[in-house]
Amino acid sequence: MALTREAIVTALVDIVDPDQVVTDEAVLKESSIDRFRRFEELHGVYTQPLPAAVVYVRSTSDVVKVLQFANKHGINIVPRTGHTATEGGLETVVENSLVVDGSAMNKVIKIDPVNMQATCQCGTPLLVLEDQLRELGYTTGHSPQSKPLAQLGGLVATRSIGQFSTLYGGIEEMVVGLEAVFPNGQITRIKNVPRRAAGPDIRHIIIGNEGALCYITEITVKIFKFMPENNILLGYTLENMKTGFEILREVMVNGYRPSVARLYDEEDGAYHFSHFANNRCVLIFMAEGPKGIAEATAAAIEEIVTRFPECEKVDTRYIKTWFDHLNWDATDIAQERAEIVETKNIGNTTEISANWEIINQIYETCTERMRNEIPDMTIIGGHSSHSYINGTNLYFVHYYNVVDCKPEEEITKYHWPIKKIIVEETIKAGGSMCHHHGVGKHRTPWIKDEHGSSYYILETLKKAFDPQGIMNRGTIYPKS
Amino acid sequence: MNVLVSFKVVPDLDLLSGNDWTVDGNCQVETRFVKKMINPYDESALELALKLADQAGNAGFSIDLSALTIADSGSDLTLKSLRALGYRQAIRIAEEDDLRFAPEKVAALITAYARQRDDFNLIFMGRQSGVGDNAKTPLITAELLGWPCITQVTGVTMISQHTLQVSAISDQGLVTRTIKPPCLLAVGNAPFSYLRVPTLRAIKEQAEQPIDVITRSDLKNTLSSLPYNPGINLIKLEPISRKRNSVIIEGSNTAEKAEKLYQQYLKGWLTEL
Amino acid sequence: MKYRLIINGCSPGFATDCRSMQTIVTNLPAADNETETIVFYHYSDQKTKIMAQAPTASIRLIRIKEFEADTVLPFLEELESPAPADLYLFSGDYGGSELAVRFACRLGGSSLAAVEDLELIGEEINCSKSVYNGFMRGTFRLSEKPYCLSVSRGMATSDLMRPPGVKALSETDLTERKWPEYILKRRIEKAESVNKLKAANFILAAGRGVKSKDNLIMLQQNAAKLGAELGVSRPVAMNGWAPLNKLIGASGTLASPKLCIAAAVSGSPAFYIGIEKSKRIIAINTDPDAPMIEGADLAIIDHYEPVIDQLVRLIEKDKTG
Repeated sequence: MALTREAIVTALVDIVDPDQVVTDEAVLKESSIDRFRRFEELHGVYTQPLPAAVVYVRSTSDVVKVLQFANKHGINIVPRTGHTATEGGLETVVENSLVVDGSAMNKVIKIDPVNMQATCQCGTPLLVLEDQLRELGYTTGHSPQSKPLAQLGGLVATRSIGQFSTLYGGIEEMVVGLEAVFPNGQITRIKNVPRRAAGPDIRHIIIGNEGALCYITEITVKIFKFMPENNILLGYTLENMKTGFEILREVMVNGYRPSVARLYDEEDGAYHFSHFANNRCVLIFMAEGPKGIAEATAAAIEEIVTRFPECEKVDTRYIKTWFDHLNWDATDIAQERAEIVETKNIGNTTEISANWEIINQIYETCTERMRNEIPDMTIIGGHSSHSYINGTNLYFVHYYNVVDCKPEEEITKYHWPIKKIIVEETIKAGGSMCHHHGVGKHRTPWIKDEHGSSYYILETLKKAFDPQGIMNRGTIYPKS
Repeated sequence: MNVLVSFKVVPDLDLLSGNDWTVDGNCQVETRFVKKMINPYDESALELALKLADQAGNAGFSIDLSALTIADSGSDLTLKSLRALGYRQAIRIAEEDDLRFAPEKVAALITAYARQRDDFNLIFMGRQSGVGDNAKTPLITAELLGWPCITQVTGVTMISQHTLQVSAISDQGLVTRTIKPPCLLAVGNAPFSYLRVPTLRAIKEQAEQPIDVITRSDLKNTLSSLPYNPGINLIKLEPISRKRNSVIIEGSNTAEKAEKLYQQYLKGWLTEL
Repeated sequence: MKYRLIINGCSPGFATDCRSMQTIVTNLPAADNETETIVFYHYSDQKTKIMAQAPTASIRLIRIKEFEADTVLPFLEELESPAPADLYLFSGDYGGSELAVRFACRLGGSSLAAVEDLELIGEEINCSKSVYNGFMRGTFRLSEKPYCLSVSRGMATSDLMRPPGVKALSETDLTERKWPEYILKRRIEKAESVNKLKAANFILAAGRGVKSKDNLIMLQQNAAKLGAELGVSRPVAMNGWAPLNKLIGASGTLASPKLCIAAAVSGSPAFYIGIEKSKRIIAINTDPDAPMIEGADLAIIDHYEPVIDQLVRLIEKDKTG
């Protein structure tokens, strides 16, 4: 028999300190969602069941106690740290959920320059860790746009990726060791070694689990020397995306690893670079690292680009100020909120990935279909920002005016139909529907299509580690 | 009613940092490389005019909207967006002169255009724009046209096809005037006036039509009678530093920092108030 | 050179405007003849009260219904055009800033608004003011008389002795004049007679980092507990989270409190100008690179809510002792 909200709260204040358990209505409301539902939230509408409480855990043993309690009583747990998720991963879709917030576990435990590792608790803001490292001459190399706000636990749970990934890799390349707690209370510590073949790499059960299998409590990441003085920025405008993808492929296939390799189409380019793009696509590279490598990388990229005469070089001063202001911060988000309510214009994103052979076709098909099938669109565009030897990602950007519809209907009228087009075309072509934001709650209808026969592996992990189904119901795995 | 809104696209100066504020031999600051935006007061003016057109539409008659800027082709995208939003005409006066601190020249060009068209009865513009910060263009334009002028406008409503209610801030308080055009409205701090966003469809429908670009010589008939030289010259430009010897209060948590702030500084300062 | 001062007696800042005008005139080279002040004053005010503030010994009193530029301008033009002064100084309120420019147009002179400094160079004049959104100072040479300048409200004011024996050279009553034809109806919602922000010793200024109207309301309650007057930056007012009379900055109030706490304000010059005369500034911001941090005497890099909550608790604890 399910516990009542009151019973849950009563039990919790015995398990942890009372001041760690918050039941304030405003907090519960904002804890029932993430950025996916921001249009509703801006209008004061909350469509998800309110959680029973938000629990601010302070230690791994707190997490153990809370998870064991939830496991015993079948209570849905939503793990959370920085609250910057964009795909509904933090939505409390089940009645009387518990949001378990790790942001109080914010200690940087150790910075180890000999072994080039840094260890911190799950609630450490990335910016805090990064700032401490930079003071010592190091960097994590991880720079997602949410950097000022996001925390390490969530960044690992969602398999996040940052602006410099083409050189440093995504979070999965940066993680060394981890500590995570499973629903039965089992604490698992994975030690810090450079590489091993002691069975399959179990870190990958934890990295990207989006809180659907376990609760991440501690992370060790690699650190790198910070040499910004060697950075070389390059910018170009060009006619079309197809050429842009070819250039990106040439750079990657020939063995070069710029930290930044970004290709913007005309629409997305106009949004960011109206001061120089002139309705053309924009290509941006940054070469980074030891001086010789940065210079060789930049020279090679310049040479590759000259083989495509339609490219025009851009004074990098145009790009530098844009780059310096790329990350979100709290005030930008606040300003954005007021403008959205007034203009009724809102934008969101869908990020996919695919091999070189099919990426341009996916781009063209999706943008064409959105243009033809979705009403009231104001921007349909996209950019590639993370490249690999075998392909790249595509970050679709879709803005629309919300016309003649209630705030809670915005998702049904616009966002889901847009995601459906992009997800289905991508999977049909052979790409992946989620590059780095995570599945969340809103791409779960396609999770079986995404994995095909390998879904067997994913679903068995869930049965094994979360047999009661208490971990973030509706995330990755469909709710039912 | 025939409405003209005059606007300016300006660099987002908040994106420039310390070193960027260097002045060259021509008293110029390099702002080419930063993102541009519509001057916020002009943005309010553009949106207020659109809201007025909405009201007219709801009441069963139409208002003709024109948008004008004096700029290079960098502003053409904005002009096309404005057309997609319902500005029937979007005009750019191409002008080579340095107009940063020449509101008299800007006003003369706007007036010359308005006189040439000879069909406007309402003009909106923002009270001032960043870079120049002259706060003179709307006032001089009103004087040249011989029109009345309301400054610090915060809102406009349609009362009838030929009368408007204009709210504006004055030193004594909020003044609401019911007026009959012609009139020039200089928009100040108008809440709820973010510019709406045009749909792609609307932009596509406008895409083929070129922007109306005219030059000073196209306006010579009406410009020639207007005073053009204001007797003001910029002789020096220098950055202003607004720094204090800031001390950052450190602490292992928020409560500790706040406690330090209070005990070591604020408590004493409060007694001095 | 002949100087003339034009001040809006209907403005709540009248007394301060008179003081700053007096300071400016005292620092100018001696005039060729007596400097007169023209004051437009509200019909409900006593002329003796107005004369008591006069910055010069000679004053012309113009009694009006309400300040309406299109009523006042023709009168001013008629009064001055036969023998214009060389330099007109207008008060830096909304009315004065408008009059300076439009009056110059009518008399064929050069004008400049929000002047912060002026220097006579022979028959010409150098003036400086804030430009580039307050990031830069521009110095301009004016050469067409009459020079019509509106004076920045932020200009330093020294408390000089009032001129002895103020006499009214003329008194004109314009209260019977109709509103200009284009105005069919006019009504005013009078603002409070005292600008609370201008008068405040302690201001709590909120920027767009407060994120919502509800948060601002909470901050207003805390401001009251701290004993501070709440002010806001332009984005907060433009979002409709606070009334416009709480706006601090270049387009709002230029305050000079003894103490200012700037919470969640980025500190761009357009705002900072509104608090730069504070004796002491404390900034609370999560962004260590925000310009407000450098512009403060003390800074805490953190979220403002817990800091303010804690300060309120500490103050209340001390009160109850």
